[in-house]
Amino acid sequence: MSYAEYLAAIGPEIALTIAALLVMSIDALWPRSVRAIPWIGIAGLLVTLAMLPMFRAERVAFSGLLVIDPLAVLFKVIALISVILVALLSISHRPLRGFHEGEYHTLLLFFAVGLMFLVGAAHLLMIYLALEMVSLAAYLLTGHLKLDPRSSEAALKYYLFGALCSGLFLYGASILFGLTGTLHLDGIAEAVRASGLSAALLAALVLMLIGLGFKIAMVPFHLWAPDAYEGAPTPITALLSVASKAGGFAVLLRVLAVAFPLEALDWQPMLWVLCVVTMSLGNVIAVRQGNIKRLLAYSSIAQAGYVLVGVVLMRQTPAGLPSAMIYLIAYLFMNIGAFAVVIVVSNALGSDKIEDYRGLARRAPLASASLAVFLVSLTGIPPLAGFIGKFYLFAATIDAHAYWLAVIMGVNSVVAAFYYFRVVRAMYLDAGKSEEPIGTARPLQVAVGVTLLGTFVIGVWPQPFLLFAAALPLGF
Amino acid sequence: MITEITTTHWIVLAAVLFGIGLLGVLARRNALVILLSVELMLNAANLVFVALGHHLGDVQGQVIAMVVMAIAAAEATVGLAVIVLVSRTCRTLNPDELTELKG
Repeated sequence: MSYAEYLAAIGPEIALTIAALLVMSIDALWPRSVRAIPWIGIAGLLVTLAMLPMFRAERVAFSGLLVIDPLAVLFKVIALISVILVALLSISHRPLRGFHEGEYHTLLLFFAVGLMFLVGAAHLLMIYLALEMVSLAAYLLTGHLKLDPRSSEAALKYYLFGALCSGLFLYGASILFGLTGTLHLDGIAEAVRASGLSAALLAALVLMLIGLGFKIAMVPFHLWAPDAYEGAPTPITALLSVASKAGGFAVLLRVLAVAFPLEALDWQPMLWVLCVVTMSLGNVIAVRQGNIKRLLAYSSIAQAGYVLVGVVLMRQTPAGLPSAMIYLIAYLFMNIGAFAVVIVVSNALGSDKIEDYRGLARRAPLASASLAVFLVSLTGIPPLAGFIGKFYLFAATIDAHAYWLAVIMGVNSVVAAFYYFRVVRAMYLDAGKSEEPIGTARPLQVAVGVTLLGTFVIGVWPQPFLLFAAALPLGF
Repeated sequence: MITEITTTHWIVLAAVLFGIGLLGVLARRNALVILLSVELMLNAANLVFVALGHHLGDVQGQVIAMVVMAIAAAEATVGLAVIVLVSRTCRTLNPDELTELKG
């Protein structure tokens, strides 16, 4: 393949990089145009999203470093939609207004570029490079509110944990290089099949699982998540809990499915334990939280546990991978939607405490109703997106005869209902201190509208998503 | 008596380096020292890549080490920026003393 063809393969990424550079230059050259910057960024993201269907032809580019396949394209769509929604949330988030917005949106766009490379990476060095690109932007965005000690503290904790995990990942990759003589995922698979199980191989797998487990906040590598989620600007919390996690899942899927064939190394029991611990611990600790961002942080740890169910089962049943993807798409809309309402409330009240949500239904009826819909969907009640996601995960567990996993997931859903409904109760049944109505800025209205639409459409009419997800080849 | 330095020696040296780095991250309570320890871990991985690249006669090993060095430099830059920020706003570099965020 010629170099021009390689470049054509990454057209959307190039377009987005140009948009990021444009935003950066405009910010530097015309400081007065600061109000337009977020919209230029969003336009760049929309153009990139529109380009994706034209660049979806399957191919392997840059001598096997990158692949463009249906899975990568689907993850790129997820990444771009979530970054667009986060950019919308950022426009109206009060602490971010007029505070180095050019830098903020440049970093957001580079985060998206990194994510697009991450989901298509098929070589461990490329994965490491993209992982770092995403992480570095995420550290800086977390610490963006530099006058707020909480934001800086969150950035430091996130950074130290992330740097450690990327070091472990790299060392795992170096062990794999020693064992197999290559860093191409398919080359690794061949060598692993030929050589069989060894202690070094197991060590490499564990080290790499730690590095990726950090990205998806899998227990026990989740310790950074609650602090980073609470201290970061709220749109970035939404970004970390959805986009960053989706990227981590894309790599996890690819590494496990391609590089570690089950017949050489059975990773299922290990991942089974991690999955069960992740959803249970996340839910149990979420019950005790008094801050809504922290509650959603623990809830998103638990939600990652549900997605992991699909990953654990992906080799046992053809329903495993599609169910994980459906859940991830549903989670994208309901979780970002919930954070959008959190921003509406914190703009008006300057607080993220659940006790301040008392009587919110009278002050902001639409926002409260939307938050209730998102929380009900996160619980998994029909006819919303979360129900469809959970339904297919349950179907996958039954199909794979993993009944214990189904039981544990069911118990977890009940525990989750308890704390989600605590917020709904505070909004609707408890009396508030004030009756003063709360307004919602236009960009936030759009974001809430889009996420509500997504939550309802997937819930009521999931067929197109199912067909698309079911068409994903398992071997990718 | 060691007469020749073999690939095994390099791998063992890298493992020791990695262990020192990991111990530093887990035991030391200063953000700067933790950052240094992480760099040590990255260099351990680099050493493995270079030694194995030489052993396998594969230039990939060296290439990977160069790329990793560039990434490590970027990572250290971001890390130092965050550390400067924290030392200004929070007046401490001990992660355990940063307790604004608690649940």
